[in-house]
Amino acid sequence: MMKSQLRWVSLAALLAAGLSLPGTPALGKAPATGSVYVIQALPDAAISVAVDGKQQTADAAVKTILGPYDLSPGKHTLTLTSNEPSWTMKSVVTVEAGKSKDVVLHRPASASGDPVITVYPNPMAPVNADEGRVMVAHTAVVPPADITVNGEVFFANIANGEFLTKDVPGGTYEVAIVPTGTSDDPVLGPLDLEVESSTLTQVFAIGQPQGGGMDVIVHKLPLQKAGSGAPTVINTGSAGLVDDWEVSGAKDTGVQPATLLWLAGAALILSVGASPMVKQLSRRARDRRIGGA
Amino acid sequence: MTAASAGPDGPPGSTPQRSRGVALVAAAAAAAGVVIAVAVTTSSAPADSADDRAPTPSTETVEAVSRPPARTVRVPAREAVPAGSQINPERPDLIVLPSGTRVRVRLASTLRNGTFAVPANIDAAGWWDGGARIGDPFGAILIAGHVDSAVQGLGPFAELLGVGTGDPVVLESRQLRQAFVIRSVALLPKAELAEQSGLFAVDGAPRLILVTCAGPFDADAGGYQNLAVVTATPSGGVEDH
Repeated sequence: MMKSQLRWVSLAALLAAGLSLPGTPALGKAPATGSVYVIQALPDAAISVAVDGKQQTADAAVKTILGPYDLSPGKHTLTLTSNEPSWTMKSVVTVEAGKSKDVVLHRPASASGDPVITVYPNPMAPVNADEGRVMVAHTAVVPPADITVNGEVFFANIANGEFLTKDVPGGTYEVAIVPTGTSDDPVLGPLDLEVESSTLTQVFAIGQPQGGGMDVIVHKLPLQKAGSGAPTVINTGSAGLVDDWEVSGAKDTGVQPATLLWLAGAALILSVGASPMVKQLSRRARDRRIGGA
Repeated sequence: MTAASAGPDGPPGSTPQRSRGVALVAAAAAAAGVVIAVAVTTSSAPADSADDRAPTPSTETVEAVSRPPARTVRVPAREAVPAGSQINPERPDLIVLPSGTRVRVRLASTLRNGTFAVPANIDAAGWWDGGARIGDPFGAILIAGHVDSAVQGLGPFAELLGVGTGDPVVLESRQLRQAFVIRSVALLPKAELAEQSGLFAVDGAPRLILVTCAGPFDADAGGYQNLAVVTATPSGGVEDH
């Protein structure tokens, strides 16, 4: 349902979207607190947030990222209040030391459903040099969806309240949300998503397709680097036992550099412009960027 | 699956801790003296796998709040769950060479001087910890193993000197397995390793790079003069095992 008649939501504001890059817990010692962000993903609502009864923010508009609230391990009460219409939600969130969570107030998959709260664990594990981590989360009024990257399905079949995570090389990716199992008629995008190295880029799809009401909230957090640098020396033998062995498969050693170039040159497994549709959409996406610095 | 509802702008639904699926709760807003019928959709899953895909109700609790002018509401906070297609990449811990020889793979790092710290025991190979893992969408998985040692004799990776294109290789990790097929075998002068950034790149198509030493052996010039570099690409998807 509701997969078509979409219009481009103006994404200009995304450039200015709040991209918070707060400090991570200090290195070398176990953090005594955990972090909680509250993400206001309810279109057309102004939400007040209190933590453990203490007012933090009043009238947060959609796409506001609140926090981080550094809280002691254990249960803490979030109170979310809307004045128009008038309601209050009170939710107990369990905080873990050294962990980070996004508490998202958003629409359910059903257009007639009421707002829900979903707690997303932030995948803060270190990431390889020159890579960033992308998490896409479905918090929109949309049936299960695929996320295409450069025209190919990259994150498959995500339902409301679910998420997918991958580590990818830093760079700019053309991303679209399409109904699962279809390749055309995106409910959002394609648009350019900038993935910075050593950064967690969380993309929350929000709103509903009708009336062009789809949008995204991008939440970025710094990650530490994993792994060691590229070797310049590999010594894997010392006895000379294979001194005169012929390397049978390497008759045409000239293939080697070419092969490597080919592999490295395939900057993405996903081919850009795989279909006329993608090319067309690419043009439409040209001036739309999200997550840009 | 839904019921009369206050709609998207209405109050949050009223559900205490509950099982998966869609719930319908009618709650009385005592303070306002209004009866609200509320539908809380906790799953948008397709019919074929609704139970598997429904977000798990969290242990986090929600309690009703009564604010005289406001509606009394209850909504469970739910824990987000990974979609069914999520693959959690893992470093390889075993490689099955074309002969069927199974070689333990250990995590290995580059030392400060740029040398890759291949496990000293030639019966194990080293996976470079700066490279790709099984399940990563991009980049090179690099594994190096000793061709020989004065103490232990020939190592299992000596087999790489005799493999050819089309030969199969399998990688396994704690929970994952992926099959590869060898695409090229090449000799690389050791001194040129640093120029081969593609061997260590995090971008590009997923691929497996196997490295061991190859002749000639010149004891006066640092021993083996070449590296044998075997490049393989996935021949199947990432599977659980």
